[in-house]
Amino acid sequence: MGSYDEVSDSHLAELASSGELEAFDELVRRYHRKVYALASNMLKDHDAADDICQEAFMRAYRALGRFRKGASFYTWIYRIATNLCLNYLRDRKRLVRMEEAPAAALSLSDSQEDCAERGELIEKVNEALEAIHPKYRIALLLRVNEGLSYAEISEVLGIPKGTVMSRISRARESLKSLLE
Amino acid sequence: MEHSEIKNLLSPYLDGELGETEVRALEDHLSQCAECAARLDALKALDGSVQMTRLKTPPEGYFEFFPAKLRARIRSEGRAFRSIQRVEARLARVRVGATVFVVLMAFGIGVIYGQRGLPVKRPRFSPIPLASRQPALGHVVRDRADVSEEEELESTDLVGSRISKEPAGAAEEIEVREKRGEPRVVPGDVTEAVKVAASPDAYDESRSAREEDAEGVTGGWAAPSGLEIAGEKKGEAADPEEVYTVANLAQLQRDYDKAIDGYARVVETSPGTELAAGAQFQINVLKAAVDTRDAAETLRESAEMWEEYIGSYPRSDLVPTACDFYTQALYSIAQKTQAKPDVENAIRAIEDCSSRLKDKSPTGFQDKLKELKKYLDS
Repeated sequence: MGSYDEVSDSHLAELASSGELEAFDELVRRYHRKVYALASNMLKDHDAADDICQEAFMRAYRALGRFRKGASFYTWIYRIATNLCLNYLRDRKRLVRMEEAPAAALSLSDSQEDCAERGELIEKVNEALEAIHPKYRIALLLRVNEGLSYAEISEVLGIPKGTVMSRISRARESLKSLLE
Repeated sequence: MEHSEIKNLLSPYLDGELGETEVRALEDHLSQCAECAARLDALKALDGSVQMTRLKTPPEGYFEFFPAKLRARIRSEGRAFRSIQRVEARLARVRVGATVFVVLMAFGIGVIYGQRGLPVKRPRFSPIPLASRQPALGHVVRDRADVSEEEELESTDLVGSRISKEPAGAAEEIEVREKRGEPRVVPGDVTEAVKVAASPDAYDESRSAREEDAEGVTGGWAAPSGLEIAGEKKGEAADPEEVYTVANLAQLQRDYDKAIDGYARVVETSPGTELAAGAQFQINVLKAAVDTRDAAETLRESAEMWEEYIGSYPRSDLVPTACDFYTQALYSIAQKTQAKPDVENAIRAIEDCSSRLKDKSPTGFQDKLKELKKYLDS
């Protein structure tokens, strides 16, 4: 939908809330990959990540009328998705491994031996990530994998910036000691 | 800056979240402290490892099809919202219908209850005593010419029959009943009749009496064959009183369609008589009952719809609402029929929804379960 390329997120949200579904489609196109990446990293399961994406966008759609003008749509959608992920983890209390994940993360140019080594490393890191508290894990993933600033993470998680800093530090410390 | 302080700043430093002064102080320290520099390198490597775990390989076409999938869900939810509105409107109609039904039944029962103990030769189970045997309906319908317009407006009852204020013989009836310690009901006084009939005791007594009557008298003699016995099968003109009796039996057996059919034949074959007026009254009451039965069908449809919705969208925000409608519909059915399968079905639904909603379960669930279990016990 080329006609929406230049339209800002908040204007798209406004258009969508007035019933223009195409405007909402554009928001979905802009942020679906990011939300999926976050959810799949958190949950390590495609189906669960897909459910989270659907639910996050549905919730955003239903609440568009309450979306604050000038607020950031992407931190808002991240926030919804993050809460859904945390709820999911709390409810399920288990993670389902995405079997193809390690292989998919490998580069084709690597030798088989390297692949095996990297596969093992990824496996270990995944295990360590799963072992740390989801609150710390999500803060770390939002920073390291999604590239969000502390201010953005603070908005997404609804916690002060200082807490973001300490959660990320603790996540790194925990991971480091688990991998040593 | 102390070594221990530096350790805490390594993580935000890596993330580019420190102020200029802190960055300068930290970099000074790092140039002199191998331990902290090694620690920083380890953290950088750790981030690299975490980045390797990024998963970005959903099934082929997933991202392309996602917007369409979401749109379908938005549309379907829009339909569900509209369905909620429709069901709410339907339930509102059902409630109005049920209220009218209860009032009508209460009136009918009030009349019956008020008449109990009066000399009835036969049939002893007749909810409305037959006109030819006693004056029960004699005061219900009078010749139009005898009633002034004002009086007519005042005395028009819910089913459109006209009721006189002071029926002949009313005082005597009241006296007889009072001697027996029965409730004071003026024949034809709808308000009082409804009040008395609406009391749980009166209702239970009346209902159980009617059920006993039905069992005792019919003894397996089904109303449809009764209608045949009344003359239809023999190809003879049926005796209206017999047809009334058989229609009455059908009513007691809750075969409302047959009962309406029988009463309609009475109205048709003996127009202008008190018997026909009684039959017409019964038709009006029974039609309200049939409406309620149809309402039960609507409730069943509604329950099925919500069950399907819950199954299809178990994670939707609407699930609590859907559970509420679903259980309410089944609960209403169980209340109406009190049949074991309906009661068990409602219990199962409430238990399922309770475990699904957990602490979000409506508080009314427990009360409903208690009441339903009472039905099972009784």
